[in-house]
Formats: sequence, structure tokens, C-alpha cells
Amino acid sequence: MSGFAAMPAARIAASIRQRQLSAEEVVREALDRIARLDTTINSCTAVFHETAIAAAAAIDGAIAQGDDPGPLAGVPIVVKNLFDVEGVVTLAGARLLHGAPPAGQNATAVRRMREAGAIVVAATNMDEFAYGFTTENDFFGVTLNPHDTNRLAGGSSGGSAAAVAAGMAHIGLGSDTNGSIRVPSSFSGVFGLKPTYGRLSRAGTVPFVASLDHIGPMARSIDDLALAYDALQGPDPRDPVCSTRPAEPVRDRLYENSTGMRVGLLGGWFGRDADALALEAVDRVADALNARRGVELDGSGIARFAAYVITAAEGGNLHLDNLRTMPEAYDPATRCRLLAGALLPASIVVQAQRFRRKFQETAAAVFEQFDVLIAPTTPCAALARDQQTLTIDGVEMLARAHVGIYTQPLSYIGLPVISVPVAIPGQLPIGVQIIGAPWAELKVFQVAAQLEQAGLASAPVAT
Amino acid sequence: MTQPLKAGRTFDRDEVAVYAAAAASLLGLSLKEEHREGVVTNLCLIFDQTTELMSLELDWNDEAAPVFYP
Repeated sequence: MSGFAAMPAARIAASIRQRQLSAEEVVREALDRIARLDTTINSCTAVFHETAIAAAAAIDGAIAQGDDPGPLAGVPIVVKNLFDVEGVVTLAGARLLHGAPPAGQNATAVRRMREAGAIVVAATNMDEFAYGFTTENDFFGVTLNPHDTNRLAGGSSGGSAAAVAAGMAHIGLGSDTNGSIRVPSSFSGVFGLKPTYGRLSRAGTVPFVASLDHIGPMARSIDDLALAYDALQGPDPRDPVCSTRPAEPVRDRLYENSTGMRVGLLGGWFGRDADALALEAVDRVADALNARRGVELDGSGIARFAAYVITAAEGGNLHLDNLRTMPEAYDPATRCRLLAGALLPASIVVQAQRFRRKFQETAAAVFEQFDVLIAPTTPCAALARDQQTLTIDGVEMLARAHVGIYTQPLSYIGLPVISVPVAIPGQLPIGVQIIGAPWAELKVFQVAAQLEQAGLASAPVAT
Repeated sequence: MTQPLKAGRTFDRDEVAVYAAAAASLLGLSLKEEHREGVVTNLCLIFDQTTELMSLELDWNDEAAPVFYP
């Protein structure tokens, strides 16, 4: 494998800023890698050869003139194709949007990454309108797992996760409504951050479920994840949900002494219905962090179902006009779920929303005793392409619906979470969630960094 | 306390199909024959799990309204 793909983003940017590398050679290698690998993986829906090379040349030119292009200078990134990229049609994985006009401006997240020097090399595949956990798209095809191409990359941000895992880019942007950053991070073996609800601006992204939608980065190291997170932060009046809190950078504080951090291992809902590998990964993390076992987050099962109801109802409402006039334009599975969501009785939806306040209070009480909590990200490693069911403890269940059971209750109340990839020799990678109280991303990052330093969490380029 | 929505009752698929057709009509959605089966299946999946959610004891403070902090 050539050098740049395995190099940390921060080192690439530093080398480019010091003129030891050129942004153009780094970007050309990323584009070559996409050309070589993506005929199999199918992670990208559009590759921006010319604009990426032009942007790289501009970075090299700026450095030659003594300017500093930023901490991500020349770092190749990919973005889920629901982020607006100026001049490109934003598809959100939908045939329906194929004829839409190109975006007139960049999404805030894309603009901030570019202002930090990053270079967008491709837009990536996803489940249609982000409604799914597998990136099996009726129009753009299925994205495969770079660690085993007989398996799925996970979804809905599966294109970004797979591209990062395969070394086609150093950082990927995704969105997470019910687990769509964390599930593909687990399956594809990368680090993925779903921040606190309202922390990062969603302006210029195609919405799915406004009261649950988050955006965030994926990367192959905690330092790269922090680099991206710091670049993405800050208030944004274009997103009414985005907090006015000032940016709270984490990168310079990753390795501060975090001794005394109180870590709880979630039991109950989060200790059931997972296979042996998922439980072993969590046990290894718990041992490394000296976590106190058996902490309960009461009501997690109801929270998961309530998130399911809100997703269907808000999604159905958002798409009501198009469901009236052109239902055939949707993937069959998406169409049926959105139509059912549009027809749900209001009393069920309101009850699902009202429970959020109660569940937030439950979580707040737990966070009085703990700084961070840990739980599996997914109940199993990457699903096989044709796998319809999972059998856990002798009980058979529908695989696709089951993979989000541990992520949904947490995004329902907007908690910040990093999924760290745990590498167990001879096994596929699998994620463990590091969960913080609202706005406590720093603690989540510090614990994830501790696990990476201990060698327990790692995300080597898939070969 | 909110009363359970038909608590303890298994939903009848035909009944859900009638509900779906009526609600779709009121919302201006035409449920085509080839889509109806999938929509009814998805609605049944939700209705079958509502008992626990609808049986929750929520009080007046447990509300969906946004809270503003000065």
C-alpha cells in the first residue's frame, strides 16, 4: 500500500504545509485509489477529479506564497451525498432528486472543512433519504465492506465509512438520525462521532427527521476525528437547531490526564440480544477502563421504539407531497415506511415525543454518577450481503431492523457518542459506543483516545 | 395517565388495511394496490408494539414542547 492512505491526516497536512509533500500528489493518489478500489466497493456516487486537483493546486500555490491553508491542508475527504457541494446535484441517495439543479452553495459543514484546507474528492453512497442501516440503494447499488466484500458496509452513511476504511479518503462526513454514522463505523471498522444534538450545523443537508438529525465525521484515528470535529464546530444561523454555544475544541486536550473518569457499562437493554463478538468487544473496553458494570438506562427499549415512530412520522410528513404525486420514484422499502409513517395516528407520535423528556431525565440522573457510559454499537459485526436474519441465543430476528437497537435510544435524546472500532485478532472489526452527557464531547474523545493509546481501538486501512 | 391504545390487543390486519385506506384518502394519498401490502405491514409492525409506549405514565411536565432558557 502506498504511503499517504495510511498516514494520519494531521501528518499529511503538516507535511503539505511544510512543503515536504504537495497537496496535488496526495489528492491524485486518493483519486487513483478510488479508481482502483471503488469498482468493487461502490462507495462513491460522484468523483470530483477536476475540482479536487484544482483545489489541491490552489493549496500548493497558497503555501508557495506563504499563506497557511489551515489544519486540514490538502487532506482528501468524502461527503455523504446529502451534503450540498456547490455545483453538484445533492442526491440523498434518491432517484427522485436526480434531475434537481446543482447546489448553489456548500453545506456549512463542507464549507468549514474546505476553509480548514480539506479537499472534497467524492460524494458517497447512502440508503435512500438516509432511511436504512445497510447502504443497499435501489438506484446506486450496494456499498460493500472493504474488510470483506461479501459483507455490507452498514448505513446509512455507508459510502463515507467504506471510503475511509479503504483509504480512499482520510475523513468522511455522514449524518446520523438513528445510528447512521455509528452503525457503518462499527461494520466498516472506523471511528465515528455523533455529537450532541444541535452541536454541528446541518445547514445545506437534505433533512430526514428534523428532531433527530445530526451530522458528524468518521476517520481512522481519534486525532483525525478531533481535527475534523474542531473544524466543523461553531454556531450557524442557517440551522435553527444549531446551538449558539461557542466552539469547544478538543484536539489539544485529547491526552490530558483523564484519571478518575467514572465509566459505567450499560446493562439491561444494552446487554441483551448481542452476539458473542459484540459482548467480548464491550467487555474488553470495560476492563481497559475499569468500568463499573450493570448500569441501567431504564426505558431504553421504549425509547428505541419511540425513535422508530418519530422517524416514520416525521419522514412521512416531510415527503407527503412527493408521496402523493410520485410514489413510484422511491425505493420500494422506503416508500412503504414513509407512507405508513404519514398515516400514523397523532396520539402515538405525540406520546413518542413526550417520552423524550422523561428519558432525558433518566439519562441525566445516570450521568450524575458517571462521566461516560459504554455499550455495544451494533449487536454483531458486518452482515453478510444476503443475510436476512440473525440468530442470537437461539432466537432468530430480522437482521436489518435489529442492527440499530443500541444506537437508536441514544440519538433519541441527542447524547454525544463516539463509536470506536475494536480489533480482535482474526475477527471482523466491531464498534463500541462511548457515550457522554449532553455537550460532554471532550470526555468522550478523551476516553476514546485512551482506548486507542492502549491499542484496543484501531482502524488500519482495510487491505 | 394516558390510556393504552387498545392495550393487550393484537391488531387485525384487515382492520389496519381499512384504517390505512381511510387515512390515506383523507390525506390525498392514493395507496396503489402494489404498495398497500407493504404499507399495512409497516403499520401493523408499529401498532403491534404500541402498548408499552401508550401505557407509560407521563405527567403534565412530560411534554414535547420546546423549553426556552433566557
